[in-house]
Amino acid sequence: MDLLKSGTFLLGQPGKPIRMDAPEFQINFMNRPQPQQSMKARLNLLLDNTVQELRELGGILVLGSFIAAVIQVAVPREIILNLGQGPLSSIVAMMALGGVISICSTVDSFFALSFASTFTSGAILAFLVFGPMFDLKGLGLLLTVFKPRAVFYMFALITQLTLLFTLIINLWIS
Amino acid sequence: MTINRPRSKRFARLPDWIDILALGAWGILFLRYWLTGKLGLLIHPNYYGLTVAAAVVLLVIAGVRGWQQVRRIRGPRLQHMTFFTPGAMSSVLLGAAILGLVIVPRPFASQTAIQRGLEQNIAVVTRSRPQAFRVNESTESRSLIDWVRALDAYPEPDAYTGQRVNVQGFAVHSSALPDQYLTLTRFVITCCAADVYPVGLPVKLPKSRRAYPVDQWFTVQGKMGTAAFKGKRQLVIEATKLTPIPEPENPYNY
Repeated sequence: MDLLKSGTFLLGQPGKPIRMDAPEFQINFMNRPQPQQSMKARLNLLLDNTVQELRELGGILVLGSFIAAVIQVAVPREIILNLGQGPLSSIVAMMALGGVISICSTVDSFFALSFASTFTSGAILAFLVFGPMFDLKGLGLLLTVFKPRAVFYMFALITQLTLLFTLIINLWIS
Repeated sequence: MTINRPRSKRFARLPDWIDILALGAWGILFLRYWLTGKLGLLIHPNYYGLTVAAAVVLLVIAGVRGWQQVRRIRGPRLQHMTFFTPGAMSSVLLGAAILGLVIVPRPFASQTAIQRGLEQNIAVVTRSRPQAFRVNESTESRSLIDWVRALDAYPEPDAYTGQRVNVQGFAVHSSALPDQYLTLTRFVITCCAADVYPVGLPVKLPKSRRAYPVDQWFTVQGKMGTAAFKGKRQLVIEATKLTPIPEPENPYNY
């Protein structure tokens, strides 16, 4: 798989981690016995890890929220909702809304219910399925682990599959 | 290299201090929202406990970290690859927290109400599930949300004609209504400010709505009636008395 950021990194060096591309070196290095650490040192590592995660995930969450906020202010919801009421256009409208407002999955059902009377059931389902997965706030987090190409594939697949299956629901089931 | 050394040494601990400041600032920000009563503008009261607990944890971490820095205790450090440099991420966090401390949150107003579809007729859905509707309950004790909810359950406007009304909300001048009407509006919050949406009822005024400024809060007394807008019959409040009131401490409804 070429989608993960590959490579071997030698940590614990002064300065920056060193990238190494010889897996054998890693195997040899990892097999060295680890010295037992004291409780105090382990608590210290816990604290260090906590701060590191807070810093990285928190910072990216702030940036992602900023992007989502800019889009919400710049694109009024009416424009999205007026995209249409047809079997296909209603799905596109609700998917666009789900992508833009990026509210959390615990409350999007309440939110979707308020549109239940005006939109097709396939469109509501598309909103519920697509919204939490296509999360603008999470985009930055994904980019820290995956290459942009992988993120693009993932979002493209989510979009296509949601559109396809909810369209089937709209046309043949409901 | 020799020239750069003292400089890099002097700033070597700067990222750690930015970390501490950022975590501490977020803790203070959460506590300040809570103490000044602004937390209700951003999140449902169900989550107050979680927010305050997070604030305490952040402040404790910042405190321990700060103490370690002052005493120059430096244990083993973790390292891993990141998308951005740690200093940049801490600065983003710190900047956001400072902006939060500087900008006082304000409740949503008429502009958001119109943007979030006040003029479309959407159903009222919240986490509260009313267990019973009492018919002989005094109609004047119903809030604006109760009215919209009742209308949602039984949408025939004529069923409410003549019932006495006493509700509070802020004024929105809807372009879909004639000059003698304003929309009395409140926001409903289910989880956080991202999901608030407006509910409102048209109010028939004794005179032009220009006398009743947008975003001003009113207590409206009167009785229910029916009016037709663009061929669609709708429930309206026929106001006999509009009293301007200050914005309530918690302007949202649940």
